[in-house]
Amino acid sequence: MSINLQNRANSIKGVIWENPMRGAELLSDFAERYGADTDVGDEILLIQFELNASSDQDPAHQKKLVQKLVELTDQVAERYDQEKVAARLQLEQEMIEAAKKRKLENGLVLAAEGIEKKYRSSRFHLFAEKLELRLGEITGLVGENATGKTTLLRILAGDLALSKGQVRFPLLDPQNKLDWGDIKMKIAFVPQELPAWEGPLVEALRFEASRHGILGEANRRTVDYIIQRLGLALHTEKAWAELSGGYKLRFALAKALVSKPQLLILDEPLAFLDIKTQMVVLMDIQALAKSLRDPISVLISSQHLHEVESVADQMLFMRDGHLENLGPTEDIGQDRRYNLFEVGTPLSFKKFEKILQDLEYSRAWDNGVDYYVATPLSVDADQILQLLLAKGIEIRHFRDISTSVKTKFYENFL
Amino acid sequence: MIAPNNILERKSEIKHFVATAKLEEAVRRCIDFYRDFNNQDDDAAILVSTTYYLILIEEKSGLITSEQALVRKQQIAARILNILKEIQIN
Repeated sequence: MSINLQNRANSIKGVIWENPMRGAELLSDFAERYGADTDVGDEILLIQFELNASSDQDPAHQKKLVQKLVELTDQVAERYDQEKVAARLQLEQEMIEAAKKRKLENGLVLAAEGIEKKYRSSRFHLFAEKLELRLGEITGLVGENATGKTTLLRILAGDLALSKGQVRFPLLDPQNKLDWGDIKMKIAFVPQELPAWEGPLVEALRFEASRHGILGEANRRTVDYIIQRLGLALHTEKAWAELSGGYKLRFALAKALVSKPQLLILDEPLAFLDIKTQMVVLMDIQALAKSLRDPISVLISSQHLHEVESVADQMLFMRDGHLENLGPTEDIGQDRRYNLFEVGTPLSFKKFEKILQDLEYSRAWDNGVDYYVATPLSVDADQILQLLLAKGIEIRHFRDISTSVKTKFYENFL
Repeated sequence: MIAPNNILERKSEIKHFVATAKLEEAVRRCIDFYRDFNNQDDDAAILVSTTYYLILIEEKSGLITSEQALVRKQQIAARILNILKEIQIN
């Protein structure tokens, strides 16, 4: 064992005695670099688990855990074997390379061109020039209320007929027969208003799977998988009315996913969820969409712009029935002419606007809740914040929305 | 988001959830991980998840004490780490 390694181990032990949590993290990294095998790393993780899982731990037991961490530190240092570590890292590298070869499928699930929908009874006219949805991708659809988002989703789900244009499903319907009976078996649509379920929830899921030809043992396994994956096991015996809004949506998602669709369309799924549940649902949707084994194309409409943007690969914007394809989320705002900031402050708008006079040309407006500031590209978020703080302005929240789809809602002001 | 084929980062994420005692997240990510990288079509990760929720049910209904639940959750954590170790890709 080298002196350096022993010194490092001694310093980690010092941290462990002072702060076991922090010490365990350092030891974990130490074992990752110098541990001859992975068992020590797992032992450390299990001790960390125990330290974190129990808040009212018996001091004697906690001391025992700390002692164990110290012993493991010595063990890593004493058993260090350069060749063994190199062999372990080599194996790890080979596994990384093998995994890299498993690519996420991104076949074209839906291609729409020049689609239009008109109603005789109203002047509403929906138009979408081009839209492509791919496996493994999440597409966010945003826009003001009553601009045609639900109409578009229902057209793509096959619930509404087109007035003009073409929708193809290259993966679901390779020969382009447009047999909606077949296509709809591979599309799942979750409407905003979730219909109530009758009877035990688990039975409804089994029935839904069987309706899609998943029978016998496969039916049991598929339903088990979706219940476990969406964390529904504690609620399968409940009645629909007993579920919270979050769990109603999760069961609706389960029902949609149990048929193993390749296209999942969600209409305002976040509408009635608290912020924590919104993120849990979005993270689950993202993980399921990007499954290497069964990727899904997801189209999701929402008024929760920032939340949807955080998981979407591409964004669509709907205004007065006209669909604008904004392209990859990461490209939004790259060709902008202004920076745009959202500021929450108790200051009156008049005073706020006056303060901004010290900046290079900018324009501000009030949307009734927050203030917005558009500036030339030469003015960045730091400058705005520094100016406001220098003037002693109370800032409740501040967001740089220059590269957010939110800018689309304020184009009229720019 | 971690790239789906970045096995090292995905393992690290699950290990982090184990270390921070966020077992529910660890279980879910483990199910995804197992489905993506396991070559056999068995239910090892689903079994871990089923057992985990059974512990929660038993704890909630008073059938086991919180100390007993903690010991069994530790076993769940260990099984998750075993699954991560057992997956071999070539």
